[in-house]
Amino acid sequence: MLISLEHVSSKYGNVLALRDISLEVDEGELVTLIGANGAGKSTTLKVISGIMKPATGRVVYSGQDTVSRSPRQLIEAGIVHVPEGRQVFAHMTVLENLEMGAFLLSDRRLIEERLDLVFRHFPILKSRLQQEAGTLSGGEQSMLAIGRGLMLRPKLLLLDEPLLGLSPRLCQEVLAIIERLHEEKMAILLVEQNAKAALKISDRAYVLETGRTVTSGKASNLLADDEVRKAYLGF
Amino acid sequence: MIQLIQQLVNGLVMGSIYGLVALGVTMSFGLMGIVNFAHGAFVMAGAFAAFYLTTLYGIPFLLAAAASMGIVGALGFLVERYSFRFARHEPINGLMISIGLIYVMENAAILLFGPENKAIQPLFSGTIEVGGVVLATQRIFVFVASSLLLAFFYLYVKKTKSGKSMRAVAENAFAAQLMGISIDRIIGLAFVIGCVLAAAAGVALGSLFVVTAHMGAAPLMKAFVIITLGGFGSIRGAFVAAFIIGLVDSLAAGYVSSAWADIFGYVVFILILIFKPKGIFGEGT
Repeated sequence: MLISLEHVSSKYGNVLALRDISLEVDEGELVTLIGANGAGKSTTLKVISGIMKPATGRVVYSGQDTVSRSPRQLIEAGIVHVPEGRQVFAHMTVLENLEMGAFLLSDRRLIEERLDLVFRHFPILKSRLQQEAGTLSGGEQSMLAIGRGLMLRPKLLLLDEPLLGLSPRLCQEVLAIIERLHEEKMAILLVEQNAKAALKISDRAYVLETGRTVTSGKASNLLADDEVRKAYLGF
Repeated sequence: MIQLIQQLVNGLVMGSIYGLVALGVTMSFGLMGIVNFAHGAFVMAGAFAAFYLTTLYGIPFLLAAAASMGIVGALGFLVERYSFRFARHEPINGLMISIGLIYVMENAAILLFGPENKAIQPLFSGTIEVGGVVLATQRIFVFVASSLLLAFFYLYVKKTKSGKSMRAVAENAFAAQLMGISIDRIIGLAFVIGCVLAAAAGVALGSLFVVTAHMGAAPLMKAFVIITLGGFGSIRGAFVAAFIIGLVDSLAAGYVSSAWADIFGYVVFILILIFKPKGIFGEGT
């Protein structure tokens, strides 16, 4: 198992955001978290990337408890978190954004290699290198945010709502890229409101409700399950 | 004509000094959200350090200036690490800290060095004449040195990895943290750089005018005007605005009255804000 959360709870101040989350992602697996707003999906990602600490429970990554490790150490260990809302550095150029993604790398040649890797997935970025990121379209910003995350070639990629606000055509484009990363054996934990689209490309999924993992299973089974569809997927 | 050129040169000299002060203020605001009223006290500390090193210990001007920048940088490191850092989540506390620091630092200066005015022996004492225009050599030197520092700073922020990560933190600290950038380290570094530049401004002012415990107040007010005019957090804007304010002030002093000089800077300031409420360069760096 690449990462597992065991009965994790977590708080924002005094407010309990996660009550009891247990989930696993194996090497090379694409797993989706679905659930309503406020169910704790984004918080779960924050706990995994170490920005938030669990109040109780354990997070085990590559066989080691992550509690005592800083977010930076976890990034170095291969966990990269692409946050909700893209959060590109709007007044910096596309190239500078990508360079920031490679902040922890110092080998210039390696950075060049990674840039090529990102351009292979997102050719559009190559033609926008000197443009300020804030002037990109929403879809391009999404691609930049993911590309920035790929600069470290993560072992575990956490994607928070990458399809938010994208046109259906761009959604398809971004989903295709996520599938391709999956084929390249990158483990991905995806949080997505567009549950149907996410489940179609995922291996497995967990359903979250008010800070708990309530159901899980193979994505295709969840898609076929009428109960789950009615209660959580809304179609 | 000759008077005009002289006033323009004076304006550039003052503009370059104001620019050095404004950068520290704009970085504190951009990275910590703190309006640092104590920044003028670091200008003063720089001047005092240089005064002591040159006058008391006879250390050459340039060496004393460099040492002063180092000392004030170290002071800034301690102040950020042990006071402002704890106000990061509550900028109003940062404001209170900064006001408290003014009293502490200014009174410490009076206590340690006495209340009387002092002056730093300038590096150059004579004048040079270019086409009939007579200029104090020290002023020219201050302008060249300050401009070089501004240019270095600009290149640092634009081109180096640490400068870029500073801009990234200013724009979006959360996202920067997700890249493995240490917010604490970047803010500490920015604060130190701001203090080093303030010390340089202090040495410059002390070598042209007088060194007093309250000498930081006036350039600090100018710095606030400058960063508002340039657009909060905008480094390019601060550069341009610093020279605008420097030039307006010195032209007003030369052609109207030095007693009224400050008024004109504020009038230009208000006029620009009426037509461009977000400053010359709006938001961003």
